[in-house]
Order: sequence, then structure tokens, then C-alpha cells
Amino acid sequence: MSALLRIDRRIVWLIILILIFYPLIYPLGLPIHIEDLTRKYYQAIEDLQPGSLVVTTIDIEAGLWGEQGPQAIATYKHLFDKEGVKFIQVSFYRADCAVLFETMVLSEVDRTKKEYGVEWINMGYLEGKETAMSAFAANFMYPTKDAYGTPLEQLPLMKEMKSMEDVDLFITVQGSGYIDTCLRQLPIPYDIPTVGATMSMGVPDLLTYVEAGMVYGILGGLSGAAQYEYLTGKPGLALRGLDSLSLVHIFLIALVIVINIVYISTRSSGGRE
Amino acid sequence: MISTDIGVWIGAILTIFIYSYFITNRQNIAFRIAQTTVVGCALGYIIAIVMAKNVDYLAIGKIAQGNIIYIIPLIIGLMMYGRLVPGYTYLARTPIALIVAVGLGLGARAVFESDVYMQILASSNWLIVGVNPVTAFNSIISLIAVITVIAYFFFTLRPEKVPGIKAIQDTGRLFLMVYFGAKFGATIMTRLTLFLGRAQFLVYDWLGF
Repeated sequence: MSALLRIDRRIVWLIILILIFYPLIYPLGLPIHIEDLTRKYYQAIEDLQPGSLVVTTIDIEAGLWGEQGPQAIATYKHLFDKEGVKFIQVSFYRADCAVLFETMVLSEVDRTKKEYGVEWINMGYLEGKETAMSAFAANFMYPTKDAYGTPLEQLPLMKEMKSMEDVDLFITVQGSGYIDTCLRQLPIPYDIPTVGATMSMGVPDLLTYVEAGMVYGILGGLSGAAQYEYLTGKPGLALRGLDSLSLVHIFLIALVIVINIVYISTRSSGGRE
Repeated sequence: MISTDIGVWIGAILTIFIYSYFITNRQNIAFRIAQTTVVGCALGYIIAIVMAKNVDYLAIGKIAQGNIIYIIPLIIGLMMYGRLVPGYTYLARTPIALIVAVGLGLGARAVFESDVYMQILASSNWLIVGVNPVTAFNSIISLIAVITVIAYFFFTLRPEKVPGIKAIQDTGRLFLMVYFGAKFGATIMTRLTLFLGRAQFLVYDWLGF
């Protein structure tokens, strides 16, 4: 049994590889449970009335696309489907966040449902991190031009949305690095209802803001995105990938239990520590 | 049907190059090619974007519109390059001091409400009476966790001088371990999902399943 402790790690990787790839080709359709925080995230967007003004930030780096891409796509599909809802999109974290939005998210949504400049604006990436967030929150005209180089004063939506004070809902799709900075500069000083999508490892941090009443709903990782896709009725990458993730989790939990039992039994019998 | 898009092929080959690490169990030439390609592309793109957004939109663009005052931040920004010129490194101190001071000021203004005041309020909201049993149970756990974790960080309370404090601090450490365990578990979940994202790209976008 102690041979298990000396197993070549590449065997574990090979098993994980099979467990990930097999359900992608032959889906299993494992059941899905909708969490309360996911439902609140969905409901916050679903309850938006025509004329509601929203600010969204997509601050996910390219490396996190596998986990957060489905969250972003599902969120913007939902927003574009909401008739009369107007929003400004902006990125603060890194330049590739804006590229992801432009190339990977917008390509998945039906852009004909909203008129650019009248119902939505893409500000692109604003350099300056916390300073830029603070300046933008106080004055949406601060970047002077949108992501495509159009002067902001030429866009009709800018007459309705001047600062965070005009906003009805703040939506942030974030990795774990800038959640606290983003929240403390954009929605919290203006007391704006907020929902956030983050990677799995960012959930414990974001939950502290939920407990404090500053964030209402959360999408946590790929499972959150899958639940959200299920609620919106638009299946996407998250639902298609959930089978793989579930199988790997079961395998890893089993591996942790078995290896610990072997380790403890080997140690108690005076074997290798 | 397998993709005929050259961009997808480049993405797929670079992905396989990166994961070749798992086969050789160490860095290899394919891994390094992919790694340096990503870093080079990202750095070049970021420089281009920052120059366009900050220097063009926020400085030169505004100066061209007649806002001469914007020449001041432009000069302060240029002073940062003093670090590269021997004998003039002191020039960089002013912009660095400004960045630190503004960042600190903005952060300190907002952090008190979001990360101190509101968190203390939430931590003090122990609903035990008149709520359902689950909420009451959670409140009790929360109360114990807050007190014991704070006690854990009171290093001046020495176990040999304060009777019973060791048990409280050990309980606090237990709660910290629970948090770190949850965080570690979630980190593994994230890493697996990132791999899943690349697997989906290979299976759906490249191989066309």
C-alpha cells in the first residue's frame, strides 16, 4: 500500500486528463443545484426595469478565461436581453481585460439588441487602478473618449449617466486581486446595489462583503456560471464543462482520503514518514 | 471537424507547448517558446494601450485642445524616466511620492467604510433570538470565531500569565485553519477550471467536437 505514496505524479495527471476530456466529448448530464447567492445575482439583473442605469466592470485576465469567461458571457447576454436597460462597461485591472471583452464576450452576445452610444458604451481599459476608479466614479466623462476613440460628449447615454450617483446597479466580473479596491471606490461610497462574479478562490473574500450587506449576489467560479446559465435558459461553456469538473473533484476527494489513510497506516506501522 | 482557422491552430499549439511541462516534468524548449511568446505579446500590447490611453487621450490630446495645465502631469510623468539616467535618479522621487500619496489617500478614505466600519458592524450582528435555528447557530459560531481569532492575534496575552487564554487562542487557530482550508480548496477548484477552459478550447474550437 505504501507504494501509493511514491506514485508518479504523471499518473495522477493522466487520470485527471481523462476525467476532464471524456465528459467534454460524451456529456453525462449530472444534476445541478442552484445556490441562493447565484439566484440573487440573477434576480438583481432580471429585476432591472426599462430605463435602469448600470455600470459593469470586466476585470478578468486572459489566464482566467476558463473560469470567468462563461460568467462574463452569461452576464452580458442577460444584460443585452434586458430591454431598455442601459449600461457602461469599463475595465481597470489590466489591458487584456478590455481585449477579452471586445473579442471573446461581445462576439457571443447579440449586439443588435442595443444601440451603441444610446443604450450602452464600452469605455475600454482605464489605466491608473484605484486612482482611475475614483476619478471615473466621480465623473464618467473622465476618460474623454470611449474604447473606439469616439469623444464621450458625442454619445447620448453620457447625458443620462454622469457619475456613480446616477447608477441603479453595479456589476463586477473580477478575479480575486482587485475586488476590495473596486468595491471601495465604485459602489460603496455611493451606496449602489452591487453583485459580483469572481473566481472560486475569490469567493471567501467576497463573502465578507455579502455578510456586511455591501454585495447582494455572487457567481462563484464555473459552478456559479453554470447555475446562472441554467437560470437564464442559455446553456453555454459552463454547463458543458460542469460534468468534467464534478468528476475531477470526486477523484481528488477520493485521492486525498485514500492517501491520508495510507499515510497514517504506514506511519503507525513504523514505515516511511 | 477540425478547425481551419490559423489563430485557433496557433492557440492550440501554444497550449500543447505549455502543457508539455507535464510530460517532461520540467521546463523544456516548447514550454519556453510559449511562455516567452505570451509575455512578449502581453507586454507589447500593454505598452501600446497605456501610451494610447494615458499619453494620447489624457495628456497630449487635452493639451492639443488648449488645456495647457495638462503639461504638468506630462512633465511629472517624464521625470519618472530619471531613474534610467545616472545622476538624475532623484527626479523620479517626485512622481513616486505623488503616486504613493494619492494612492494612500484614496485608499484610506474608502477602506475605513468598506473594510473596517461595515465589517465590524457585520461581525457584531449576532441574531440569536427570534430567528430560525440555522441563523441562530451561525450567529453563535460567528461570535465564537470573531472573539477567538482576535484573541489569537493578541500576542501580549501570554498563556503562562493569562489562565485559559491558550484554549481560546487554539480555537481561534482552528477557525483560521478552516478559512485557509476553504481558500486552498477553492484555489484547487480554480486551477482545475483554468485547465478545463483550455481543454474546452482544444476539444470544441480546435478539434471541432
